[in-house]
Amino acid sequence: MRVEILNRQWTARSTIGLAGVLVFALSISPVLYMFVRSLEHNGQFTLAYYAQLLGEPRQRRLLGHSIQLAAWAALAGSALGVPAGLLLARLPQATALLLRFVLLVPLLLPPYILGVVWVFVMGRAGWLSRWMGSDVASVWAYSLPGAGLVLGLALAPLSMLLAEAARRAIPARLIEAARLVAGPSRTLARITLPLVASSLAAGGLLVFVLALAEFGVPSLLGVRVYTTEVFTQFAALYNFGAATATAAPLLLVVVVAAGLARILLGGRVLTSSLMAEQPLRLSSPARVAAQSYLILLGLLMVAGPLLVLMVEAGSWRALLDALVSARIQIGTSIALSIIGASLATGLGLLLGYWRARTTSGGRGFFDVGMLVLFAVPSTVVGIGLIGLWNRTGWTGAFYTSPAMIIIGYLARYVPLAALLLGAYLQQLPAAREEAAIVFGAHWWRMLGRIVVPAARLGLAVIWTICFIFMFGELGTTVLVAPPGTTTLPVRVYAIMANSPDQRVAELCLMQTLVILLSLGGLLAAVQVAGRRQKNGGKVDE
Amino acid sequence: MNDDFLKLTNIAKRYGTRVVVDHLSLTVHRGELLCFLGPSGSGKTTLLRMMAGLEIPDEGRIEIHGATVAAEGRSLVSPQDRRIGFVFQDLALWPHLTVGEHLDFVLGSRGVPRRRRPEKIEQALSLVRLHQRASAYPSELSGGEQQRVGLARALVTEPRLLLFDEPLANLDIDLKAELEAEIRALQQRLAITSVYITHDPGEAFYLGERIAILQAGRLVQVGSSPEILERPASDFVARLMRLWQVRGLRGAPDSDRHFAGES
Repeated sequence: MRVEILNRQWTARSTIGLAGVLVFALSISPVLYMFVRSLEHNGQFTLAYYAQLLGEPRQRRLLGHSIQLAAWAALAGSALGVPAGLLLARLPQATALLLRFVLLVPLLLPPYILGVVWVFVMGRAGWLSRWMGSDVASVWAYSLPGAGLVLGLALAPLSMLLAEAARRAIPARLIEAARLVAGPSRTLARITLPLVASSLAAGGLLVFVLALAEFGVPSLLGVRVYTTEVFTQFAALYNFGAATATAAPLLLVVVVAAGLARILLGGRVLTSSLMAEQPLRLSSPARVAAQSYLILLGLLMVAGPLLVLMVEAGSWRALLDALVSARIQIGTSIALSIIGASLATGLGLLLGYWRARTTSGGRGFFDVGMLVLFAVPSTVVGIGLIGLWNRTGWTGAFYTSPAMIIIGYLARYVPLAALLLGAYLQQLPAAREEAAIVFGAHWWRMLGRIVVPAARLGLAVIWTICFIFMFGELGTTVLVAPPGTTTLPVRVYAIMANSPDQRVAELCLMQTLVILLSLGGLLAAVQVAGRRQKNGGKVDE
Repeated sequence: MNDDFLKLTNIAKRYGTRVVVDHLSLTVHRGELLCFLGPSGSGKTTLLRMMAGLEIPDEGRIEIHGATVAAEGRSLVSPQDRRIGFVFQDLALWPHLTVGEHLDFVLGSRGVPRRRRPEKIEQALSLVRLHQRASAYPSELSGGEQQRVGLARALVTEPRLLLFDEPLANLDIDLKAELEAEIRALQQRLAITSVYITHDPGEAFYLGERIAILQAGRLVQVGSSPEILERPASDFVARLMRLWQVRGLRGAPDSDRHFAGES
């Protein structure tokens, strides 16, 4: 609580204030705009859309469906992620790092890719039906629990990360004290689980919130929930007010769930520390069993889907053809994602720095606000952006250019970058920055020469995460992309309905390979940094 | 000319409802080394940070060299512009900069032209006997060498006020004694007004020309070592002097030199 001075500098205030204004313009204003539009019709104030919303049983069914879908996802995500996280926390750092990277992949893939794999395996003409000789699974595959399971698979790494961080945060001596008098299962039930319970619950809530906001998977599997309904109201019926009013209950549930997650986690909304405690060593057989389980999970969650896509895509030659035919979309996606990730990381750094170093009570509000903004359904963001930017004048010039896609990316992912960087920067000792200030450095110099170099690994990680998310962004891009500019996810979405499975598989595989390459680069960077640190090198973050 | 260099008038600081510094007034003379001595939670670090500008007093006034730098809940001069040197408790060295780059960064921040920096860096490193280690990173230095980098960084811009925040608290007894002697010699040689905080009476009596004793945010006595030993102003001071002397006579380990004050 002693670092307020770092944010009190005039330069700090004005720079961070400007970043805040930008986030307001990019991320908050589309949501506010939609809310205001839902309260007017032909220039008059009205609650008609809401009355309609409350009056129609169909709307209540939609809310029920959305909550069911999110609950199934939270259940599946926790069931897969929590044991994995608790086991990862007991492994040595080097092994845990590698397995964690592999198990993180589903979170970084666009969920619809897992949806496509799900359809290939469980769909009407899928592998299972062909193998069994009849359509045995499609009823379930295209149901709410089926879609929930796919989203649970996609979001399980989030539960895993929170469970691992919570487990590593328990001082080893607490567990050792229990093990002196109790066996492993009693220690787990009476000591470990109660200590990590709030983090596990928060992990489940975060999965719940993100599943609630997902558009690609329910759309692909034909499950009718609020996000698909918002899209239909806007894209098919062009009913702006109804689309907005439809989004309102969803936003309310998102706000409540995100607030609950913040309360459960305290100040650690998205912790980035997985190194806090040297874990108690597992016995050799237990370690082998834990590693085997995690490798199996990796096969199920990562290698399995990849294999399905490879089989469906056919030969490498076909893949090469697909690469050539989609080269423009791939290039566009990579270029826009690089620009978007760089801007998001820059803005996230400024806001995250404020979050990390402020002593004001605004931190809790910031956490919930950023979490809610990140969880706002992509279709809602897209429609809000259209309403705000599709006008004559300078906004219209942006609206008809590829810059609009970057604006969409920033609207969705600056809150995530700010949240992650806030958590990361909070772990760096503030005394180093105070020292720079005391010795005469002005705020920008301190930020550039002390904070950025100290945080460069975190910045690289968050840049990569933003790049990957932006590279796979669908719900907002499909709405705001100007004519003549198509990203890879939009191309995949467009061909899903009317192209052969092989082509869909090829493009999904391509997208997955780009993401895996990015992750591989990041893993290499992390390992180099780790090796430097081990060898007493230059950076100790 | 007035001999008062640092003047604290009626300084108060609260964190929420907890009073950390309770209406404290004190003057530090030009060229003097004054030690603040007190147990954990007595407010000494907060006091030092207010002098540096890292905290703002809720009440009272701080004057440095005749200029008011903070008054009535406002900072009037930013930390950058107070021209002070600060040796942090955990040193706060920048892990990505070499020893030489530490000093270069500080000089650059103070607007010293690039061409004049090497000479100043050489001088400062010579003062603390580190001129051979200019290209080393903090992680490549011993504990004592890291302390010297912290000291060189504080001295390189020729500050008018030096602040020490328990810099030797975590060192072993031999290194601590060696560095105490170096700090005293340097301070006397350079005659920079200095404020040093510690919870170790031995360190305070060795280094301080005067010692200011803090208890729960209040100043309970100020004086030279003999004055405090011979005429303790309160039971608290008498008790801690007795405790320290008894432990010293018993030849207790260094950690036991720290008095068992209130927490």
